Amino acid sequence: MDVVLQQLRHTYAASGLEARTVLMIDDWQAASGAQILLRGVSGSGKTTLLNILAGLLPPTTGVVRCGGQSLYALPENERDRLRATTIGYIFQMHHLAPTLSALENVEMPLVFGRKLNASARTARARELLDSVGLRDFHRHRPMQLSTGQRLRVAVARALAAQPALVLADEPTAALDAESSHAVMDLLQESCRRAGATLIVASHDPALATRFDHVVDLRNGGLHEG
Amino acid sequence: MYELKLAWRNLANRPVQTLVTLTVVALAVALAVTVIHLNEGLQRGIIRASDPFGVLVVGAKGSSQQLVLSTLLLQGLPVGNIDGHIYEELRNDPRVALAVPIAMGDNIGGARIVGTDEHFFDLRSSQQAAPAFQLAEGRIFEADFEAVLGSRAAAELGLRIGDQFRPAHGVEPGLEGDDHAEVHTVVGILRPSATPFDNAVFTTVNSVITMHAKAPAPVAAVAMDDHVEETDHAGMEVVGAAVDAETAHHDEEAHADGDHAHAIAGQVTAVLVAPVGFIEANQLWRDFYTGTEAQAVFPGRELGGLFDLLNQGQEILILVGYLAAVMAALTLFLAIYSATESRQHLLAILRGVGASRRTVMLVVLVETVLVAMIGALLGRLLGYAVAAAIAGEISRRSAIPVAIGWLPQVEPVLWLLPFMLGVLAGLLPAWQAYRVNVVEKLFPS
Repeated sequence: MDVVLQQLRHTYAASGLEARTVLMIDDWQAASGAQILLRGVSGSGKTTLLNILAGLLPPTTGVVRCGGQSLYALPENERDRLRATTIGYIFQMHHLAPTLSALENVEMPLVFGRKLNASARTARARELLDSVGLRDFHRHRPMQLSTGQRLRVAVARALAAQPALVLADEPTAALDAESSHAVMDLLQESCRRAGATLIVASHDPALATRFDHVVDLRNGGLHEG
Repeated sequence: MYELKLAWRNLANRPVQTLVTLTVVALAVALAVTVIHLNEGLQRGIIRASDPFGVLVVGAKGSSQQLVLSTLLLQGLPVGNIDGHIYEELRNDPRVALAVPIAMGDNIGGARIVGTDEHFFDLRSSQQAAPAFQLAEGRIFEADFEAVLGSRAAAELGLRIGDQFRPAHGVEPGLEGDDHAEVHTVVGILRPSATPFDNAVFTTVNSVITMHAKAPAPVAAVAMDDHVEETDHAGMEVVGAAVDAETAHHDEEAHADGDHAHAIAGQVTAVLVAPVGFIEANQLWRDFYTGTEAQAVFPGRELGGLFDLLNQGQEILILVGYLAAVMAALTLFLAIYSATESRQHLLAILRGVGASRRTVMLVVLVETVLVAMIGALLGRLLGYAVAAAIAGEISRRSAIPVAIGWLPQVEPVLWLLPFMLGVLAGLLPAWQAYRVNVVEKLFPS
């Protein structure tokens, strides 16, 4: 899925504070199937941009097109459905549902996207958990998993619906080098196989070598790295 | 339904809070279920227990309700006695198909002694129905001081055919201390009739009168003193199930003559009357209404009045039930509302992976409704259990068969009300869920 940003501006306006524009992107696009590393220091607006791309945060102005479709021209429930079917999002804090097992967490987007029946959903979730090395942790709750294991569940969840666009926010932030490599291998390989566009936001310089396309987010703008 | 699964997991994640909420809801529902079923069971039991006893009850002037209760349900003390000639006149009245005398005044181990005649055993709820009181073994009494036992009386007293006993004075144990000298012999035992008469001992009217004629003064049942004024006003000399000393003396002479008819002409406590038709029933009722000697009452009408009283009591308890339901709804609301913060984070996660606003709102509503409905189910079980226990105790004490049964007419309300309470309690939290700001909750910085 290709991604196009046009005249994108996003401003945070908190009461009593001066309004702060964090994104000022005139024109930017990512080709379908591209794997892009989005770099930037903390607070540069990486997460904001990913949230906008995920359909969670309407930009103050501008257009976001995903697969030719203007994301924010769609009604909210359609954007919700896109997140369940087409856009996979790996949150920085993983954000797994604490009351559900690893397997049930992975099943979630499949339920909301209504793509598969119950048994097919479970089979797909099992397969994904097995592929991220959590064969013996299907029934574990997030609290019973390590940080690395939680991240792997989040990756499996993001890939569950075979999305055309995968967004990952600092996926390696809490991992050691070995685990970091394993997760990135899984993520990149899965997206490559599925032809999905991958955008990874990170300030980890070690990741740069893994991506052909690196962009820096500085002063609200995107600059090719 | 995925929302149900999520709601269930949320509840299971807060076991103490959920348990407390469930308990409050269950208690509120149990209260309503107990009151409604007990009231209904009691009314049905009373109707069933009074079913076989003709259309009219004739007895002493006084409380008409007490007359029906004491005569048909063996509850409380008899209103008083009426002169035997009233029974004689009724027996010979062409408007009367059947007149059965009832004389009370004694007990044996708490089982009331009922003086009557063989026609009592021909009483039935309708012409087509079998007699309500049928022998399981033995025969009906043929002579004075022969006794037929109700099924429960036989079981509880441990008496069998051929056994002998001496009744105690007074319709209830402990009212008066003396045992009568007359020895009664058990000649028959009845099958269970599902009426309070299962705990009664039947003998001839003459047996009852003879015992009291020979009893030491004062022989009138103690509690009957309450009715002295009324019965005096009605022009009667004596009150209570037994005759007083003066009448006892009078009757003693009658017994000495061996004149059974004269003995009947003495006193009876009540007469069960089956008129030949509806018009005749009303005529008889009017005759007694305008007369001064006795009263005739329609049991159905009196029981209707009793039911009105029961229903008033029920209405008050139902009001209490509504208050309990409001409290339950508030508890439910509080439980769900207090968990809002942690739930909103979860709901934001759900939204983040594709759940719609409608879905997360449903999760909260399902959660409150789930608690309300599980509470309702537990409350129903508890309510049935309590109602059944109380019904059993009432049946044990009064022999009125109080059965707790299925009430299809109240079932929808008993389910719908908790459902509505669940929805009501969940509205505000659900609205908050609908409005949850995903970005704020997932990225608080």
